[in-house]
Amino acid sequence: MSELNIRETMKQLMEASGVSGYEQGIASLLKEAFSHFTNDVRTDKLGNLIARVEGEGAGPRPSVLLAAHIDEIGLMVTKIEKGGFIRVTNIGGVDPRTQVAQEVVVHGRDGDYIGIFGSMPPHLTSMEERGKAAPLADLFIDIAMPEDMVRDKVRIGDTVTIRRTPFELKNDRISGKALDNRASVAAVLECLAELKRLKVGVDVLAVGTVQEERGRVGAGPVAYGLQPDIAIAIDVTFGDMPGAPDDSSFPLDGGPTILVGPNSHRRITADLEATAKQLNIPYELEYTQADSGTDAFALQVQRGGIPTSLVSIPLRYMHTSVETVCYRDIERAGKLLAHYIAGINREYVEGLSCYLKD
Amino acid sequence: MLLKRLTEAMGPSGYEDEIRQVIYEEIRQYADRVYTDSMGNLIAEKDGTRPGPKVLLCAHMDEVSVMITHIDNNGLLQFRHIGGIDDRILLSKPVMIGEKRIPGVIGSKPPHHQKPDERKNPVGLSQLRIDIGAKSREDALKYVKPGDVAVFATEYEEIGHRRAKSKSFDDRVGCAVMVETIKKQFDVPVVFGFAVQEEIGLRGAGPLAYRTNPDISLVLEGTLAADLPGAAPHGYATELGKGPALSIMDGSSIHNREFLAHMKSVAEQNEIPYQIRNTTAGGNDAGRIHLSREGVLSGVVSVPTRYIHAPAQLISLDDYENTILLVEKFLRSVEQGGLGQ
Amino acid sequence: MKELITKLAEACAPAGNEDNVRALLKEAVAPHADEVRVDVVGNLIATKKGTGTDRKQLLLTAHMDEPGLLVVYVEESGLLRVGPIAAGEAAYLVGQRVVFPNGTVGVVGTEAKSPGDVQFSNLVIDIGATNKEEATSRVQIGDSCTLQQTVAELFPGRLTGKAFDNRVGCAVAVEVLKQLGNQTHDVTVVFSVQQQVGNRGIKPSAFAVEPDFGLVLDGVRSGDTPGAGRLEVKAGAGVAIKVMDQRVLIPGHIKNYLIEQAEAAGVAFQLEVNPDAQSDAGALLQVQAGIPTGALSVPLRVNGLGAEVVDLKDVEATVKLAVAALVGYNL
Repeated sequence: MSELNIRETMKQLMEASGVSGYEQGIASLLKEAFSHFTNDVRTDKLGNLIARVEGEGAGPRPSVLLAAHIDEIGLMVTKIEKGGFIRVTNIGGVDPRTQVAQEVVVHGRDGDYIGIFGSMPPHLTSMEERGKAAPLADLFIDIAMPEDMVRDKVRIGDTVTIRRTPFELKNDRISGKALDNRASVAAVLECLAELKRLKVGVDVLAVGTVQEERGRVGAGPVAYGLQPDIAIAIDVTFGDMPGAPDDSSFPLDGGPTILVGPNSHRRITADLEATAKQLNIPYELEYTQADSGTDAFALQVQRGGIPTSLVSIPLRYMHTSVETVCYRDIERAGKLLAHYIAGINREYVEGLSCYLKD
Repeated sequence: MLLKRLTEAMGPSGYEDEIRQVIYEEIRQYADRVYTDSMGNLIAEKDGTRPGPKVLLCAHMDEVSVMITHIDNNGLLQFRHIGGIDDRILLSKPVMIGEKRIPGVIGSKPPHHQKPDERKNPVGLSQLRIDIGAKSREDALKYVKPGDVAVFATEYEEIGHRRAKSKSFDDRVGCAVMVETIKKQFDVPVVFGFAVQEEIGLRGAGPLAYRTNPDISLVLEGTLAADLPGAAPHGYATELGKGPALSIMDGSSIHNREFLAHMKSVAEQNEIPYQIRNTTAGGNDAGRIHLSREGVLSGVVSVPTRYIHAPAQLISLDDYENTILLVEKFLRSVEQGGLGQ
Repeated sequence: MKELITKLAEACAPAGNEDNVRALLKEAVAPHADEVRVDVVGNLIATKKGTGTDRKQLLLTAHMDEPGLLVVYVEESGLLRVGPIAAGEAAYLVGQRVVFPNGTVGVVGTEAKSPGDVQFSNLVIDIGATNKEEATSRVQIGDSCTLQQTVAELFPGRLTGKAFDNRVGCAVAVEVLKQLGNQTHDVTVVFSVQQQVGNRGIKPSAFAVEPDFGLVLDGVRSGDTPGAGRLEVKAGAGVAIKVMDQRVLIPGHIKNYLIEQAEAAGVAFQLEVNPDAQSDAGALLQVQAGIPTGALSVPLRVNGLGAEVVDLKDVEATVKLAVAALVGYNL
């Protein structure tokens, strides 16, 4: 099988659509990509995509779950108005201000239709109106068809995603929609590619989780079912911008971030950090005091508890159609995870439950 | 003194190492089995002489605290809460940071430099800083770093009449009740679960209950007592000195009526004073335990604690001792078939 | 149906004390189930075995509970102090008549001087007692009450009352159980507790049943009343097949399955996309390793507290579709 071009795969995934609850399109592309690393790829009852890459040595081997959510934020049709204009509600944290004048794709039962988020021409709006942001319920989508045609092709409950082709910017940066969380999916693929070059004694369960943007819905059940010995979520975090708080935003091209705080097992944090230092990979520590806001929160408390952590890719303009990352950070995240995983064995896993000093 | 040892130990949510070790050393000789899980919950099991019903007693080890998140160039430390803290109680308090207990003080702009209307508003978290006496960022980094956690620097003291003051009675008093209980022998199997990370979302209790799979559970807490000037009697929630408080409802559970009725009758039959927790506010580990697996018959008994989630909390030692007694009598009643299991 | 809905809706069953409704439902389902039991948190669970060889486990659920007020304190004067059990806005409770499970009736008053100042901490319930002793002869701290309201028929087939969310769903579940006939798969009906306070009861019950498929029956607010916001579901337009609510996105293939069943059975239906609606569906979806879950909602016009309106046509449509979905299950 030819080697996978992960960067191109990521761009393909970015252009494809998979709103929370409707991730099948992404799952099938990702399944294709996973097949470069294993034949054991399946979907669970909720649509989580699970690829198992077996390690070497006699079984049963410890297992490590890598969770990267494959859903993106988007919209859902709530009503078709007179004139064929479409009203929507949000799936996940969509800022209505970023939707105005945007090109979108409405996913009907039998086809995809290009639409535009309508806006009044500037000539007809007052200065006062332009000073206010319209709530999502007041916006509408125009798919340029007569009303009865719209009603035939589009239904309440159909999903809508942003239309955006990825751009390559300077300094290895890529910009586009849904880098939250396609960047992390790419990091997982980079990890699997790197693992091929290492001696690995554990099974890696690379999982594309569903519905993270709607409350981490997929991650808990998939971990409950797989019962991994260790779980690491991969997600995006805030890239630095003017106005962002000192302690929770990170430079692009400064490497991935490693979670510090109650949502991360302290030994895993320390060992990820040690691995990064050993490999001369730049990284940042991300300090949190409770919920990390990612799949890691759901993973940590499944059944009797799972040792959990989180690696994140700094990303600017989160939840907009121009999300931006530095691809080098994705490669670094993948390499970091692969080398950390290569150091895991049964004793290590058992030690994660040992806290008492005799 | 047990309450002193337990309340003075450090145990921020997610960083319960010190308190866990202290409790471990108190209880290890009394249990058939003591172990920790991957989250750091401490579990001690006494098998008794019968296969069941299995009772889980649960108290949380963690306390509200802060985490250092950033060091300013001038050596002052920025921080965030771990768990629910009202910012107004932070101002001008001493703290201890990290394993080495580096002392620091929480300060902000002195009143002299504040405008009159500024003084009417609480000082927000963004204006508060911890000062460890460092001259600069480089100097501070010799002693502390971002990610370090800090607790209030309060000492345990018995004050007034039969009262004790310390930090973290919520929930070291619950832990203490369990430490006193584990020294006793019961026929039924009893699991003593010391949970982690309760203050940041009842995190440890769910995995703990799943792993230990009890039939019955009793959560032991330190709970709010607002028997203070400015509160009407119906708003006290609980009152110091009126005995252990039995819960009817809180944000995480509507408590089992049969369990509550049973606990009342145990108290009455043994002439132990008790009160009802007259509020629906708050939440605790029973919220996760009662819905574990196929459901667990659960309840909560609490020691009233004034000034909860603040540096200097106050309990009645009579309430504490009556709670220990009530827990013992409750377990005896389960031995005798109480709660019809 | 009308009689059953009336009996259930008029009963007093606040979240945490669903005894009265549980007793009525137990009586109603016992003749039609192989086994009926109550679990530790109070869910009523009725199972009916299927007749097929490779039987799946299907779970049908409707929550029994309604909002209420919990007595937290009894004043010396005999007035009761309360805390909310999913009770919404305190101001709407002032002047309402309430009832306790043991039949004690009371009225809600407030110390506040204006509607904007009403909070649960300044509400009182007057049960007609003149001192604490008299009050506690009928009501204890820890008892909870609900609105008291009778069901009335407005137009033929259109009823008004309280707690149609979700006594209507419970009535549907009873009727579905009656109409299953010799169904292929095992069907377990769970009448769940404490949905109103965070979808609690459904979790342990589903853990015990481990179903292959779940179908949630609930009420949903329709858009055809003032103040309802832009909701497309209309009373009288049929059963609402849930697509999305606050906590659930129904898996696409299940939504499509329910639409196909509705079309095949000639049942009037509509699609529910309501980001504010709450149901047990999201909680059920996430139990253990995940449970494929669908949901059917009966549209309810909600005019105010205790003033819900339902069209029995929609109730019948819900029954018909639920039966078709369970009997024809082939996912």
